[in-house]
Formats: sequence, structure tokens, C-alpha cells
Amino acid sequence: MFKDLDPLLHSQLRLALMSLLLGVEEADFVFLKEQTGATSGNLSVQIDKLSEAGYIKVKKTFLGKMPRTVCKITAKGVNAFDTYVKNLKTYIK
Amino acid sequence: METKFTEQESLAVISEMINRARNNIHKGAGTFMIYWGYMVAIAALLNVILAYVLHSLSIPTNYSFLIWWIMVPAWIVSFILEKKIDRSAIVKTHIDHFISSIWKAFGISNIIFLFIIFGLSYALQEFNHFFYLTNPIILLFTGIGEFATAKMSRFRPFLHGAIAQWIGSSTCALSIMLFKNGNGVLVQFIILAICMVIGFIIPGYKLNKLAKESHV
Repeated sequence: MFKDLDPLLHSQLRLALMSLLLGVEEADFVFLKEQTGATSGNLSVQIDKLSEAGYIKVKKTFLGKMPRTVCKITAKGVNAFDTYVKNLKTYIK
Repeated sequence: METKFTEQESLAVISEMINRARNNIHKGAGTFMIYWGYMVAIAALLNVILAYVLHSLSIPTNYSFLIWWIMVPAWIVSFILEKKIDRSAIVKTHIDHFISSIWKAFGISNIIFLFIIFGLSYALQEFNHFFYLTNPIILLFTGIGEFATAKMSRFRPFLHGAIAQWIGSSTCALSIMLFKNGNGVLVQFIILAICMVIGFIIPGYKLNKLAKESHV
């Protein structure tokens, strides 16, 4: 039986962000932009959505005078991703 | 803007992104290895040169070991550099974190080991025999650190480096049997310098080259 896929994760850019963050300790906005090829505006919106859901933690700091955004996946995010992959398998089988 | 996509595409995104994160080597990843390789190799060779100079001036050659105090400012520079690189790094992988922890454990183990060696030497008033152990055991520790780094990073030159450290460690022990009158320790320093070139400087440059190529 097909299981519902988390709509928050079943979006190309948000899923790409979660997959990237799952493989690293933490990542800067610049790295996420480089790897996903997304525009800054779109990336910001998707990061905010994931952060509001508690899937990622966003830390805003300064590097010299430049603002810096660092993202890290949370335990809730890991669980949601795990469930998403399990549900996805029901479609693939 | 959001793009909905199929389940197959979803799987492709996951595997591509996980691979990208895993295979990421940040620019200048080998810089620390190069830095420490040069520092230790230069200090070791200066120790040998200084020992010969002091000997020719009829001054006790043990003073040549004082050159190793250079490691204190070297460590401070390394610490500042590490903080700076950490702050500006755009990604920190689990592997980076693990490798950094291994070398921290290596540093702590070395300090404790040197404390034990100096403590025992002082307590027993027997210096030469304990000092003979310093280089082989530090190289042994270095081999462990580099082997773990090689396995985690899957970067083969580190594996060659680890083997070089272990061969160096055994050769240092042999040098004591082959060279008498304290010359064994000086030979150990030459072996140490060679191990630094093979195990740290060369792999460090290779890693930096690979990182540069992967970011083009």
C-alpha cells in the first residue's frame, strides 16, 4: 500500500537540501547554493520553511562584516527524512 | 518556486546530494599537514645540525634538543590558523570532524607521552635510554593517526604515509642498535624528517591539488 509522502520533503530543492545536510555536520548558505544550483531567493525561502518545521537549525552569524548563514539538520529532520525514504520505498517496489 | 517531481527523481536527488556532500574536499584541506610536515622536518634537521655545531664547539650536544621549543609558537600559529579556517569553511563534514578529533587525540597523547618520558628520566636520572624511545613512539602514534585519516578520507597517499611512519618507527629503533655513542638519536631525527616529507608534505600537496581540481 502506498504511504503519503511528507509534502515538505517531496519538493526537489527542499529534498536536495535535506540530503546534503544529512551527509555533513553543518553547511554554509554558499555551499548549499553551490551544490543545489538554486537562486539565493528561492534557497532562502526553502531554508525558512524547513527551519519553521524544525527539520533544520539555522545559525546566523558574521564573518568579519559579512553576514553568514549556517544550517544543520536536527534530530526531527533526520526522523522525517528517514520516514520519507521508507514511504518512498513503497512506491518503488 | 517549488517543483514537484516523481518518486524516481526523488531517489536520484537523494543519492546525488549525499554523494556530493560525502565527496566534498574543501580547498586547502592539506594545508595543515604541509604546515606540520615542514615544521617537524625543519626542527629535526636543525637539531642534527645544531648537535654537530655544539659538538665542534665542545658544548654538550644535549642543548640541541632545545630547538624543539619552536613547537610551542608553531602550535599557537596552528591553533589561530585552524580557528580562522573553521570560521570561513563553507561546509564541515562528519569526516572532517572525525579526522580533526583523531589529531587532537594524537596531540594530547604526545603531550602525555612526553610528560611520562621526561618524568621517568628525571626520577631515575637516566636520560639517554628514555630519549631513544621518543622518536619511535611518536612515529608510531603518527602512523595510527594517519592510518585512521586514510581510512576515513579514502585518500590513498595517507595510507602510504601511515606505512612510512611505521617503517620509520621501526628504523628508529634499529638505529639505536646500529649507531652507538648517541649518534642513534641524531639518525632518528633524519628518519623523522624523511617520514614528515613522505607522510605529511607530499600527501598534503596531493590533497590540495585534488581539492583545487574538484572545485574548478
